[in-house]
Amino acid sequence: MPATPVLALPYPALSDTADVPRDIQALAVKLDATTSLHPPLVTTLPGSPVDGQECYYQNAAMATAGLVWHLRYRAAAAGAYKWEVLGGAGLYSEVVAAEASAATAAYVDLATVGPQVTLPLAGDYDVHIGARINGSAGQEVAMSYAIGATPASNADQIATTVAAAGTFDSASRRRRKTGLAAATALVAKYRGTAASPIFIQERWMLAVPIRVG
Amino acid sequence: MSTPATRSLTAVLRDLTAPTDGARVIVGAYTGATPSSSRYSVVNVGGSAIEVPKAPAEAAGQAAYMLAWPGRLLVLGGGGGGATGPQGPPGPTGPTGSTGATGPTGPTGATGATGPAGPKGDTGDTGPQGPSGGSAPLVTSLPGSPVDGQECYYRTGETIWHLRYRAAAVSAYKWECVGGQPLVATGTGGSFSSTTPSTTNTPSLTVPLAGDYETDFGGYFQNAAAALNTLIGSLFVNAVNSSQQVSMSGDGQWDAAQIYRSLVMTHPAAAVLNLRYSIGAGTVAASCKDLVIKARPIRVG
Repeated sequence: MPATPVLALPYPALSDTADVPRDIQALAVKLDATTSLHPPLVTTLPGSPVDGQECYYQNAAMATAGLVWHLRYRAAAAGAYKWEVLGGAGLYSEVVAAEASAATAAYVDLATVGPQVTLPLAGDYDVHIGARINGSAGQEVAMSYAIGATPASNADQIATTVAAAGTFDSASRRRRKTGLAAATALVAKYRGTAASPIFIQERWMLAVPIRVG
Repeated sequence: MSTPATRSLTAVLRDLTAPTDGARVIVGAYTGATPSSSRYSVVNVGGSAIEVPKAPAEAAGQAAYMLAWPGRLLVLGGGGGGATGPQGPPGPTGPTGSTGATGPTGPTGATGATGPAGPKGDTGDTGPQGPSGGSAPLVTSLPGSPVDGQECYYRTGETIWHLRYRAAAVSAYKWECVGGQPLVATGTGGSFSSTTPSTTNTPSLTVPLAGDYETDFGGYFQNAAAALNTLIGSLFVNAVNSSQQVSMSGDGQWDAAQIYRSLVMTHPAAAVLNLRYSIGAGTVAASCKDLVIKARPIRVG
């Protein structure tokens, strides 16, 4: 049975026997498997995209977590990140256990580093962080995150002033971070004051892609 | 009655068939054949080739105009002389082509391809948008025997999730979510002063499919007395405390905070999520409002 030159869709030749169900089924099966009719699943972004092109992006780490991002390329988009996110869950990390740090006014790691996520693609992300926080009464305790080699700063922090020792306060925040490089690690850090230790539990981080490239 | 000799049948026929003495114009065609002398040209007249005096600008195929009378032949010259005239103006523009045919089925969710141009004349109008190519079906239960790469739009209530089946997924939940909004439930909350989590005016939602969900919950909590108090919002799943909670502590009468938690949770099919509120200890009064639960699938099955 001959086939079309581009999509290799089969069609009957004049010399073929007349069998409409057979021929239609052959065409339908071929169409069903034609990936150009629906976005392909890719582990790297297409090299020479065209306006309106779509793909499902999923690298190995995302596959393990069951994450997949539906992306659409918009050539007229301003900036370098022209793959806009149509859907898919964010990168999530959490540390549930309660852990402490010695008194410190600088951002530090706790015994279990993180939570942390590594961005698979460069782009703009909404970064959510949260935790339940405690220290000594009247102490300000904060959580922020390092961005690659850039240390954690108060600009990205969540903070609470502790009412009483042993009472945990929830805090959370979302902030849009733009121009993040591919393979950048976002790693949560913590601080209190120089006077007293801090206690953190149920700390989490969620990075939701907005546009990538 | 006698007939004059000049009107006899014989005389009349003789006059009619006799060669005329008048001159005649003959039109032949130069053949281009080589004549017997360079002074002549070969002309085809009525299928016979004759040599005539050479005229200027003769060319094979051109007409040869000659004046002939008995015993004489005078070549007047070649026809079709002169340079070829300029090309005439173009004809009028053809009629506008018909509207292009509907574009072929496009990729999922994308605009259909542009219809082909009309056959002639002005380009035909753009064809109408093709149907959404490869569109996944809208379903209320997951397909029974999915194949790798299969997609569907799963609807639960007013919420639709775009799901894609990945056969190689290591998880039991092989339908991965590639789009859609979370399920959302809200509650108005109220006043409370008990360590037993309250169910009054609390948000509750049911996840329709087993799987991993990005789950958010929280609300506005406020201490109602000038005494140390811990206010807790606890997430219950199928009426069991999941130990996932938000909390705030206050020692002032109106200490308050908006507190939320996000986490990834695995839920069974038809799991009921419910956010309840309580205090940590004692009986100090408190209140809460604007309670919310959200559940967005990551992967289901």
